[in-house]
This record gives sequence, structure tokens and C-alpha cells, in this order.
Amino acid sequence: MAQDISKKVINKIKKEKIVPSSKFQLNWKNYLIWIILIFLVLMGALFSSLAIFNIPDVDLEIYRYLKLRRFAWLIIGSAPLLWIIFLFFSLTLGFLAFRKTKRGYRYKTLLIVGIIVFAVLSLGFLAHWAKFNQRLDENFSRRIPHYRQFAPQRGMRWINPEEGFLAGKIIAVKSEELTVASPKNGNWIVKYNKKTLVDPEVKLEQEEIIKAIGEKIGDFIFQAQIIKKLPCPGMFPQKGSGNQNNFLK
Amino acid sequence: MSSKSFMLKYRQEKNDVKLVDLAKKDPENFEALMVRYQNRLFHFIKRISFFSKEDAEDILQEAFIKIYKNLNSFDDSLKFSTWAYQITRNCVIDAIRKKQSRPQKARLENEDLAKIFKSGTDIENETLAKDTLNKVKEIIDKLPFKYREVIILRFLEEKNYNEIMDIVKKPKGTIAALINRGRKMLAEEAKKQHLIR
Repeated sequence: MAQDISKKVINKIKKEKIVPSSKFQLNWKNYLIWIILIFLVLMGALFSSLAIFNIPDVDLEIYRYLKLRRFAWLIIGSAPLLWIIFLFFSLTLGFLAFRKTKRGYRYKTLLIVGIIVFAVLSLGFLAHWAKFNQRLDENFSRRIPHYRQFAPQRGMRWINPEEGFLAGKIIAVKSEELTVASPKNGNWIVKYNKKTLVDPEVKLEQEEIIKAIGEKIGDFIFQAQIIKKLPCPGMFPQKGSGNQNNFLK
Repeated sequence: MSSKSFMLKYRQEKNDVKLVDLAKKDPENFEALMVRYQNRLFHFIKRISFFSKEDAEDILQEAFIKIYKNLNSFDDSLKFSTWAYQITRNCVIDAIRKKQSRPQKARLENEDLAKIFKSGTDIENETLAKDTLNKVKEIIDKLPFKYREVIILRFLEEKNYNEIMDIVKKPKGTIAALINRGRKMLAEEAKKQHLIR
């Protein structure tokens, strides 16, 4: 058998003029998988940055006043589900793509997941730092019809007086009373007193955009326990966004 | 492994890499590689597939042609033998898919069975002395392919876990789990058939 087979193979190679395939021919699938993997990591970074964009206006200090149930409502009820779902898909597909690379089978699942999550989140934070996510969110809301139905404006989580959250622009200031124009619910009287925790950054003057945490005590009347600034202007509809009342114009 | 046999293996691996480079230039040089590995690969094919001698020879030829065509993708971070086993295994799987059937009789030799069972601590050696070899062969034959191949690679081809991982392209943890589970299945079935106590 021994000599026969090797002779047969050599004869076949010569007869059919078989030659070793080029490196590119042999490796193109692997290159393609790497390209797909890089694309998925970049997409994951994009989705994570859009998800991160929704998070920073919830600070842990608020937790002490809200207690678990209301804090959970705030976080879960207004979580950027669309981006989290897309992020999850990118991570899963990224993991599968890594496994399909030439030597991907050699690495432990935990290591692969760790590397991909690290890469995606690092790039995601970088995009957030560069405010790429904010520009993208605004662009999407202008260009994609019904975009806000799937990815609500992040400031909207603060406009739910029934649950004790109210946000808007101060349009009038009186002693221990503010008139706040909320983009969704009209004008509200926000009452505050010495017990109300007013963030030192808040000056309580007209045109200031604030969020109040407290309790609805009557029709369009709100008792504030905490008053804070809304961290960045991208949180409410911008001029020309086609949504709400062009709140920030 | 003694230092002498280790050195011998090391030299052979180095030599394989040189032969691969030479074979890329002239197919005649490929013959030395084939002669070196054809018996091992031939037995490997027969052990994991149960194909007849003729079919196994055809698969081996096909595997060598494939190895030759793929010489440029050989990466010397792997041993040539590991890479050759990897390609041969793929050819066997393709052949099994094409034929869509498994021949009924196992192709394991009696000494093969001895090697597998000696490696297990829970199966008595005396089993092999009894007139139960056919039953044992049947048990191995019934083992799903994924367990069969790793058990054969580990105990008959004497590959280490890293080599098996590269041949079947599965993580090391999965390989260890498949080997343990396969051996457990063998022992359980042998107990059921009263081949062991």
C-alpha cells in the first residue's frame, strides 16, 4: 500500500498539473471573517456608545432619595433597549466570528468574550467622549422617520410627574416656587422649600433647564425634593428635530 | 518520553517543515512526506470511519492531494502531522457525508481495544481475555463520532490534548469533556452488557 499511494498521488499531481494554491486563495475566508469581526466590534462600539449616552444623567446620589423601586423604574423603564439589544447581537455575532477565525477555537470562551466586550466598551466610551453618539442620535432623529418611537429622547425619562420625575425649562421664578415648562406636559408649578436639596450648580433662574424629583401634589403642581441640572442639551428635542415643541429653541 | 526519542521527534518536525518548503517547489519532494505519514493516516482513517481498505485508500489519496494543494497555508506553529491529521479528518467527514451510511463492522484491531481499555482505570483488563471482543467492538462502534474520534486520537494515535484540539478544532476544555464522557459511556455500556462488574 505504502509505495502505491504515494506514487499514485505524485502521478496524479503531475498528470493533472496540480499546483499548491496561493496563500490568498487559501486564506480569503479567514480574511473575510476578520473583516466581519472588526465590523461587528465597530458596530458594537457604536451601539454601546448610544446606550452609554442614555446613562450618565442618572447619578447614584439620586438613589438615596428614590429608594430601590423608583430607582429601578427609572433605570429599567427608560433603559435604551433598542441599543442594548443591538449591542447584545453584535457581541454574540462577534464571539461567533472570533471562534470561526483560523485559530479561534484555541481560546477559552471567557477570554474571547472578555476581549470583545473590552474592545467594544473601550471604543464605545471613546465615541462617547468624542460626543460622536450625541451627534449620531440627533442625526438619526432628523433623518430616520419614527426614530424616536424606538429610541426615545433620553431626557424623556425625567418627564413623568406621576412617578415623581419632572424636567423642563424655568420660565418664572418666585419665592419657593418655580414655573417650569415641560416639553410634554405643559407648564408646572414646582414648589420647593428649605428641605429641598438644590444642587449647587443650579441657580434657579430663568432659561435654566432642570430636573426635579419629588411628588405630584395637584394638577400641574409638583413638590420637589431634589432639584438638579439636566447634564447636557442633547436630552430634549432640538430645533428642527420634528419632535415635541422645539423645546430648546 | 526519553530525551533521545524527544530529539528524534524534534528533528523529524524540523525536517517536515523543510520538506514542505521543498515540496512547494517540486512535487517529487512531497513523496517523502507521504511515505512518512501514509501508514499512520491510513490507520486513522480506518479507525474513525470503518471504511473498507479500498475506500480508506481513496480517502487517503484525496487527503494527500488536499494537503499538497494547501501547502501554502501550512503554518509551522502547528506540527505537520497535526495539520495532516486535521485535513485527513475533514476528508473522512466529507466521505461519511457523501456515503451517508456507516458500514456495520468495526475496524478496530484487538490490540487497539487493549490500548483503549488499558487507559481506563475502571474497566478490567480481564475483559479483553474473555470472548467478548466483538461485543466491545460493537460498543465502540455505537459511540457517536465526536466521542469516538477523540478517544481514538488520544489512546490509539497517542496525541496530546493540544494536538487533538488542533486536529478537531475544538477548545481544549471541550476535548477533555468529550474524552471523559466517551470513556464513561464505554464503561456504562460495558457494565450494562455485563462485560465488567
